[in-house]
Amino acid sequence: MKKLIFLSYILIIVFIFTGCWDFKQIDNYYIITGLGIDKNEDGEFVVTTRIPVPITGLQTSSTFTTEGRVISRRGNTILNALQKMGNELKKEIFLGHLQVVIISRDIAKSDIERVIDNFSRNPHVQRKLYLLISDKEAKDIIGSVNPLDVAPIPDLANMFDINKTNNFIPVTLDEFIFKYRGIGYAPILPLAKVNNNIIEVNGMGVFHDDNFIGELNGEETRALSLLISPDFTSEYYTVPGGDVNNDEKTYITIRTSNKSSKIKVSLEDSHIKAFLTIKLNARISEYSNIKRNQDIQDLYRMVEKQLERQLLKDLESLIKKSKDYNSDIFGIGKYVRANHMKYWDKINWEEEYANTEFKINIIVNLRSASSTKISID
Amino acid sequence: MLNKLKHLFSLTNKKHDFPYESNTKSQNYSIKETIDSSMSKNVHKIKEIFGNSQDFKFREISNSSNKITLLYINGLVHETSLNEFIAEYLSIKTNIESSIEALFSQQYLASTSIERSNNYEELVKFILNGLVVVLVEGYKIAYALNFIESNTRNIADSDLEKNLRGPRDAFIEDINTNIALIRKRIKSTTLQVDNLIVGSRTNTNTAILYIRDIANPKIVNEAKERLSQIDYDEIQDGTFLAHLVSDNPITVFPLMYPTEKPDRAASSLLQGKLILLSDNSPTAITLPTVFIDFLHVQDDFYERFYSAIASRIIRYIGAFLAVFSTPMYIALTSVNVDMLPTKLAIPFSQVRYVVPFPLIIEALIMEITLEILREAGLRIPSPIGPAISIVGGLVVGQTAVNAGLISPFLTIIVALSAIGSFTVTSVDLVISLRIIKFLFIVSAGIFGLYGLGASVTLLVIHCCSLTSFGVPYFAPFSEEGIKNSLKSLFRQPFILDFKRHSYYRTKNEKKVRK
Amino acid sequence: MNVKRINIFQIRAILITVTTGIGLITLPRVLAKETSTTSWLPMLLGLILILIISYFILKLLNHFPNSDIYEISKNVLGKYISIIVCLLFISYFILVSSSTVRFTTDVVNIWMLPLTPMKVIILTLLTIASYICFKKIETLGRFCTVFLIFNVLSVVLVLFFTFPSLKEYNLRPFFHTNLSHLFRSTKASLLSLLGIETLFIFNKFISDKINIKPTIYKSIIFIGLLYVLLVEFTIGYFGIDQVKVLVFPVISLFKTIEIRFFIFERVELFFLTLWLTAAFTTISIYYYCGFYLLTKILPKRLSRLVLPFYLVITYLLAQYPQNNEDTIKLLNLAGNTGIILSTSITLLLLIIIKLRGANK
Repeated sequence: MKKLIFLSYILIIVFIFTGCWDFKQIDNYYIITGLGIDKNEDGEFVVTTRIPVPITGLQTSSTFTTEGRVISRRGNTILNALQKMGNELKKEIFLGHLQVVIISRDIAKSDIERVIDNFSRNPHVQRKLYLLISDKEAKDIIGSVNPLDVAPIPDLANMFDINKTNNFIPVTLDEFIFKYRGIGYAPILPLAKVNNNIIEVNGMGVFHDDNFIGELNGEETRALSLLISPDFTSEYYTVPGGDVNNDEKTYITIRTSNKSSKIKVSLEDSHIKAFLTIKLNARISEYSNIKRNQDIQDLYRMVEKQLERQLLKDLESLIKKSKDYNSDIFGIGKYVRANHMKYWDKINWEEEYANTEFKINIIVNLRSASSTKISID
Repeated sequence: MLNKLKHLFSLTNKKHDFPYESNTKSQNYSIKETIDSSMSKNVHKIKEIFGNSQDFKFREISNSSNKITLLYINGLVHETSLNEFIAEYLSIKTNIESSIEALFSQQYLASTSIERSNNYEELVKFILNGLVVVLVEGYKIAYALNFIESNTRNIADSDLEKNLRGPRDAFIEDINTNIALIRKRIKSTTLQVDNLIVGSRTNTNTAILYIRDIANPKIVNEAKERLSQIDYDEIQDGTFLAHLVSDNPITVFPLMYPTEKPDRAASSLLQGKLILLSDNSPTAITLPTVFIDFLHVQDDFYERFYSAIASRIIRYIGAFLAVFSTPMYIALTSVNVDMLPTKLAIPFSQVRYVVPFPLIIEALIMEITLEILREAGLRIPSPIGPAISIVGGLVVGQTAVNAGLISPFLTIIVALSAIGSFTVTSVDLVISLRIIKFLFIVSAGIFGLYGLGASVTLLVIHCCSLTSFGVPYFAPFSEEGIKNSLKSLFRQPFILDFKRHSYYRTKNEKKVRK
Repeated sequence: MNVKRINIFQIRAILITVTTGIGLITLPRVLAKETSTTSWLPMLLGLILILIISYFILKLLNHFPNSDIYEISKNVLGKYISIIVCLLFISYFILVSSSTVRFTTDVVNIWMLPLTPMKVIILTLLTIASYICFKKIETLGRFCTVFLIFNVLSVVLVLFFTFPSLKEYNLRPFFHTNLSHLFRSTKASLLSLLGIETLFIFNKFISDKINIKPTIYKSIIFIGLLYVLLVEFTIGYFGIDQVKVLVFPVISLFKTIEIRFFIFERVELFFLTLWLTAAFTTISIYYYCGFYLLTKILPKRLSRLVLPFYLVITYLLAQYPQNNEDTIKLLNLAGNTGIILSTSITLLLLIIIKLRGANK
């Protein structure tokens, strides 16, 4: 009896388990890495992707290719459009290796929730999915091929991974969702435009009340980056050298390191005062105009002052812009909420942000003048 | 489970009545009775017991006072010394007539050891073991003289277990030499050797070796009990014993460690284990054995502490790869495709365009080819050896990839798993790992990473249910905390290593005197 | 017959592995919903409550060191009532194991195998649990001890990789809640720490009864503190608003955190595989407990049919919930039953013993 039950159980198991439901062989899918999302007049999504032409020879060493077919379809949701694409192609499209999603400015202005929702629900989407806002149509960016590219979209993603350029901050889907869904933090996204088949990522788009409201240019982005992700900011700063009153056109390039930033918040007379502190070490990398008999300490002081002045100027213009947009890109709200809960409960931070008073403190510590001599004796 | 199996086998045995049955039955008179005083009667009876076998010899000799008969098996006895004995016997003066007993006991005659017996059963056993039985006219007692001729090979290096450092000698096909090899290493009065005869037809000499004040007496008794209860007609090798006394005879995993190296055997004895030796076999069975023992080699103790740990880590990684590399590849390329790094996923998918088989079939083909190559290479005469590697490496590997039959990535993965399995020195464990790898491949193909996890769990449960002579197979991981587990996974330097592993349940855990 | 077959390491492993399970990946959300950044407090309160419960259970078991719950209640209440007690416990164990099976199935379905039918995954889980029932009780103990390291590792990995990116402002204010929220939250944390009731079965088999009490308290405190850290780290990483909307916050956490130089994508699948070991152990322990009690109260001649019958019931119950919310409801029901059952029966038995002792 026991044997019989056991045997029948084994049989049931064997029969049931022979269906391979999730056996999706890797070659039965088109693995796409980039997706462009636009909106047409009817409010439908136009989803564009680029499918690389497969290389069938086994002997070729490179399996990436710049050749590809750009395909775009309309649909009420993103998945709907992708499905339509799949009907036409011979294989299904696989989203598991999506690396970059480019959203058109129109969608960012009003409809970003619809885009985010799909990707945040899908557990198969990668952690490092970079979001971008396209200046015009997202389609153009997907379609563009730079002759230097090996594979356009993975190369773009790689650029975000390395992240050493100075005029954008890479934002992954997760980071965006943190700020988007959370309170007291305004989300930002990098802006991309395509120029002569070359993708250029420059500046950040700023959101207010979950909608795209305006943009920051390269310098402002850099200042913001110094504040919110100091380690990933580009190292080199170029400031005018010599006396400011002097008309002399000399420039110093400074290499910075050990950058750190700190935000502190205090509540004074029912309005918020935010203290931004930035500390950095620096050394002179390029300065051709060293005079004879110049005191080294004086030079150091001068360079420090110049850099501080430059950073202060950038930050002030950034703060002014953020107040104009009324969006808390620094995340001051988080600190307010953490430290002044009672006050936070009373106010609407989205409106109150503009009244925040900022105090900026920049500490530059010039360490050396790199490897060449400091001054000419 | 064991009983059920035995029952099953006994049922199948009853089906046939062998025609030879009657022949064996005719011998079945009582050989337990004591011998007669008449020599010729005795000789006749023993002759009958041996059924006039051609290699059974008897020589009747008489000197002035006594008549004796020598009974022995041709070839087992050293003829020259036997002839010397006969000459000496004939030359003995008749005046020492007191008794023949005195003759033997005072060792006027043969200088070898002497056994006495008065029943047929024992005499037959003596003859079968190569002794010369001496029957004396008018005596109700027989003497057995040891003129055993040993025809074994010399002690040489083991082909199966190689070591870089340490002693090179290995067991040979003679039990006494093997015991002596161990005794040479443990010059202690507490090393106990117990002999037993196993195998209803082969009557093989076996020995249980243990150290009296270390080994757990319960395990010793259990081992003796199981050995004496073996009901099987042949014992050709020590491994027969391992199969017959195992706790769970139908598991994939080896429950006892067979070794050919006397240094490993002696070391095991000192850890509190038992050694089973069987005559005509160079294999010593170590018991009880836990899983992790199969991944350790004796070299670990000859190397310095750090290099031993490093090579153990490499061996663990190798064993892991041997089992998991192909199943992981299957899981990542056919089920959990999104887990692959993007830069790998795209080449993988593109290369697979030309391969005609589904992924899992491709992997199985490759794995089975590898198994065939390995099996073919194992017992092939050495002159043909290079041919195998040419056929296997070039034809199957390179050409299949070039022809687009198999994707190059899979070749790398399968090769990785093969290389990984080479790091595992225990042949027994490698076989089990290879078997469970196929289970993993199938479950990874169906359920991906989840299936892999589930089948590993099933296997761990199975391993946890196993015991080797009462010692849990997954000890110490299943018995003790992290400290002891680490101690047994890696190795302590000798200056810190005071204690034997507690999971062998030894009587005396201390390795040092203080 | 020697019944003392579980040593002190094994009982520690059983307690820790039976406790880590579902709570590991859902607890931060449940607590964050009620008590937001104060979640450490209900967790600690829950820990204290469970210690009190275990104190009483251990006190009861101290009276009967060599019996399981069936023999204890038979001794105290008589044969027929003891069968009722056992039936209550059996239904609780079935409830827990089937709801845990169902929850695990949901997780696997969402994160790992989207197309595989639910019943197949349920069946694989139950097959593993049933396979253990074929074996003896020491197999269960060894199995849990082997898997203990993976269970703990799954939590420790999360903590280790999250630590560098913790945001202090997400954790503040430390004290911001009210009593009713606190109460509900404490109950949730108590549910996730439940597991001590399995001692009703395992106590009989423990070999080292002297060291049992400190071991049990230590392992419960260990798990409790681990959970406090886990909850705090999850909230500290995501921020309270984000944790509230994530269905499986800890899996999402592991998905989001950056592990440098880890070549594979979707790291959370590795975490899930580790977590699955926790699920396997939880399921098999509860399943085994139910099976054990069932074989105890049923007559010997039916013992062959127990396992298939038991398997079918658990299988059907695991298929009962319509959706994810139902599963969580079933889990809560199971947890509530467990707390009420184990506390009430323990107290009842203790009181009766006390009264009898006074009479004598």
